[in-house]
Amino acid sequence: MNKKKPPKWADRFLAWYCNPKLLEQIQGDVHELFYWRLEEKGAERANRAFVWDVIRLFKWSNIKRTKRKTQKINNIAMFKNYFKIGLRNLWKQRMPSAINIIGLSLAIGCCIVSFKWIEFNTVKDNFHDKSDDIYLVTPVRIVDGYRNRYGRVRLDVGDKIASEVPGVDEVVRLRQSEVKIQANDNTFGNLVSFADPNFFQVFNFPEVHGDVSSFRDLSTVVISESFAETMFGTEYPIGKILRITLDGEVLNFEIGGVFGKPGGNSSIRLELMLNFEIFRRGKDQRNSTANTFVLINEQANRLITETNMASIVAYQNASDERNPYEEIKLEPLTTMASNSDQIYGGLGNTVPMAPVVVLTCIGIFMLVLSISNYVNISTMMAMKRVKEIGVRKVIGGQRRQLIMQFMVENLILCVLAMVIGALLASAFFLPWFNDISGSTLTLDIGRHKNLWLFLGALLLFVTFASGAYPAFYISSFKPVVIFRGMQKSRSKRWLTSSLLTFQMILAIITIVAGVMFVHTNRVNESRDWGYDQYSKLVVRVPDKVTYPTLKNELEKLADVKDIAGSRGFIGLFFDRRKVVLEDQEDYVVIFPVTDNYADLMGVRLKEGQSFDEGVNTQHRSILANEAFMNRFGLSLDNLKPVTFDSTTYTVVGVVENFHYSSFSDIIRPALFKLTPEDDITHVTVEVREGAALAMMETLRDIVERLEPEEPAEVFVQEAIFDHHFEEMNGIRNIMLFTATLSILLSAMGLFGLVSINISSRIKDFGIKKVLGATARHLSNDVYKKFAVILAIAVVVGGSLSVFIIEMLLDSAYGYHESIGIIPLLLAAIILLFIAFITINTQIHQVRKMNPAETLRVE
Amino acid sequence: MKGKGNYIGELEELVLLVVGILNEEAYAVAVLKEIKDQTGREVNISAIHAVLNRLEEKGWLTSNMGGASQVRGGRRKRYYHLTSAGREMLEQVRSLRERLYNQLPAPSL
Repeated sequence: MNKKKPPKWADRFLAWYCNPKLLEQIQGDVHELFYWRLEEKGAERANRAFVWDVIRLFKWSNIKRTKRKTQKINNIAMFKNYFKIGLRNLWKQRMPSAINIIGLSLAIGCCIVSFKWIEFNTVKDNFHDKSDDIYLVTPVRIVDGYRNRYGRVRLDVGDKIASEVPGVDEVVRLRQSEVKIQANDNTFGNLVSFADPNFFQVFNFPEVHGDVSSFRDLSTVVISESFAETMFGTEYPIGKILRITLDGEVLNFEIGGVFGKPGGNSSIRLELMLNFEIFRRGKDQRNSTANTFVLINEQANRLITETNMASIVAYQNASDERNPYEEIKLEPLTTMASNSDQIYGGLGNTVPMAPVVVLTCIGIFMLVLSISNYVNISTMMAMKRVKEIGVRKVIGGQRRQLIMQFMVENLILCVLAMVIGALLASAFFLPWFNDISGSTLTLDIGRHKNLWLFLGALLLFVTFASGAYPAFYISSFKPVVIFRGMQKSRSKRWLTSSLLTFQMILAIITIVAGVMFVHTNRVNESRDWGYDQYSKLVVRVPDKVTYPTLKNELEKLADVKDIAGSRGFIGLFFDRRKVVLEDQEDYVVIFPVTDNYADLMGVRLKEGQSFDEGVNTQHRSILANEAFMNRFGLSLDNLKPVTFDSTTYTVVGVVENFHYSSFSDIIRPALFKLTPEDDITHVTVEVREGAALAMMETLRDIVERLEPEEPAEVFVQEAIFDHHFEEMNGIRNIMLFTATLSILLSAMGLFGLVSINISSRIKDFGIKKVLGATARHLSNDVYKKFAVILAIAVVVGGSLSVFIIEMLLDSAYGYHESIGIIPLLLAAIILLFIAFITINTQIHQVRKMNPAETLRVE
Repeated sequence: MKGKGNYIGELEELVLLVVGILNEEAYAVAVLKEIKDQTGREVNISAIHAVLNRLEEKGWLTSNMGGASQVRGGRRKRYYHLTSAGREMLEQVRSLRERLYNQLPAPSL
């Protein structure tokens, strides 16, 4: 007998494409032909002919699946039935269903909050009707070999764009500054925006009262609704007078209109609006710049308009040879904020990446946890319904229909979870999150299209991710096996166990994170700042007041012990410069200071000498911190000249490292250099101990007396990091919340599994009890099942968290202790304790049960 | 037998005839072999299938699945039978041909 067979792949291909109803005949024919040819013509030609036949047979009439079903399935009735059965089952197995729903809704709540925050921070400025046609003019200049983009152009250049560039319909300029405002005998510092009067024809802000474009009149101001509320409360604001100090002149403006909150997230913050002419007048048009937006009409597009800007580039370069433009780019309004780190003087803020990553991770974490719960519990739940599945199959239910049924039940549950999740988010999670993050997110389900899309996608994802496996698994049982009572869930136990292990591992990781953040925050609050932060106040020197004048005034105060000046100051404001040491270069923090600043701040001198008293500023000596010395491999015996700003300096002393910025940053190289008095921007005042807070008002008054136009800025040195601590506590709270939720979710998962495990073996336990098993015996039986899982989780989760949490801590803190054995132990104990309690509540049932009851069931 | 269904192609006629000849043993491969034996023409199996299906649609053939057998790995064959309409069609074609042949003038020598 010849054992040759037709080429397998061709045969399989045929079987795959061919209509099953025709397959038998067709396949039989080609096989018969093959064997016939094999005898007549030999193997090779038979093979080739076979393949050729298969290819020739590959045509639509053989591929199309014909339906010869005569009866139409009554789908609607079927779905009604699924629905009914689904609801009944939900109710019948209340406890596991509740666990599923609660778990899912918690996770969904978290996801909604994460989504809202991320969306709020990434989708910006897209609510204007003409958003897609509005661009910010960003000229490019080459400075020191770098291409720099700028967000502002000169006023006359803006005029030129309006009059010369084809395709540009409107040009809107915007310039914002902080001014002093008086009304109702109150004085405020506030943001004023000078804008071209066509602003509201290009940008959409809703009109609340009056005429929002009335600021075309030079004596009219238009204000925001929120500003009107803080200023006038419920009074009608139109026609009221605001006194605004501009360039030293106090002017009266009549309120002509009030605009409301925009329909979306806007990078352009508006409080008060004045005509751009007011900013312009009396200024050299070639020395003043403003953010310039263009509205492009339908005939033009971005690229064409950018090319058309060539004449503007030529104009700029002819009129200002020192600042030549390379080209002019147009930045779309909608991406202006996310690219604002590349545009000098642009508008808007970039998206902070770290919180986005953390929130996404938390959302996914929670989803994974609750979906694993779901898969586990619903698989186990369905195991109790195998008889139903068997019956359905025997009376002709197809597998597809069974899967459909389970998916419908699943959908019911997910929709419920979705609704509860949304309620949870809007009632608890969002307000709470707003509290700690200082945002103002609300769940505006009615009009938020992106949210709907997100919720829809989430629902689909959750339904499939959680329901697909149970549905496919359960529907695969064979009725014969079911009715003989032989189906074993054991073979698939590994999935349940590994999902549970995975959950427990996640729980351990989040607990470790929580513990570490609490610990690090506590350590940081008592961390040495590297200098003496107490009893010091910092005053910003107003633009028109000189340091000596202010110093003289302050010295008259009784409580003032000492005064020093600086450009920027330790804690909040500082400059980075590129510093060159022979062959090395790096960016270094530089504090230009008066000679006594370092001493006054209590920065500790390690070696060498401090600045000499009364030394003139030409003296090119600098104080370096330890980080600087380490970075460049210097010591006092082995110094190199330090060059920056084209001046060369010598290190005369080394100070211990100090935290010039928040604890999130590690301490990098920093220098003190002497500075002339007219460069000083901040005055640091050392006051009598305990007098700092009381002195704040006094200092504020003095500054305001010297310069009534600018709002005074006074900082308390020891409160400089308050904001940072608050932020860190916010993050800590989020971590704790995550840990709590993940413990809760995994405990619920465990609870569900244990209870299903016990109830499916209740007869087992009954028999054991009758035969004299003690309560301990029975509980050991249950413990054994879960002990291995917990042990693995503790070991794996512990070691994973060392890596993951270390990374997280590195990104959040400049300095932190590494994860020791204590947080790991603590996490393990917490988890084991929770697991123990969870299992015990169930074992309690077993202990109490009367074996007679359970053995009699069914 | 309506409309253009009445038209019979050359290969169709051939296959119809062969099915008639093979009588009880007419299935696709047998038809293919018979055509090859009788005329020397090698027709691809997919063409045979197509023609058989078309003829069945036109009502000149009927078909049924045969019983399982040991050959072809137990796969059943689809057997085709000539219907009376099919037989009538063949008669028509033949009488038409004969009528036309008879009108052919004798070759002049």
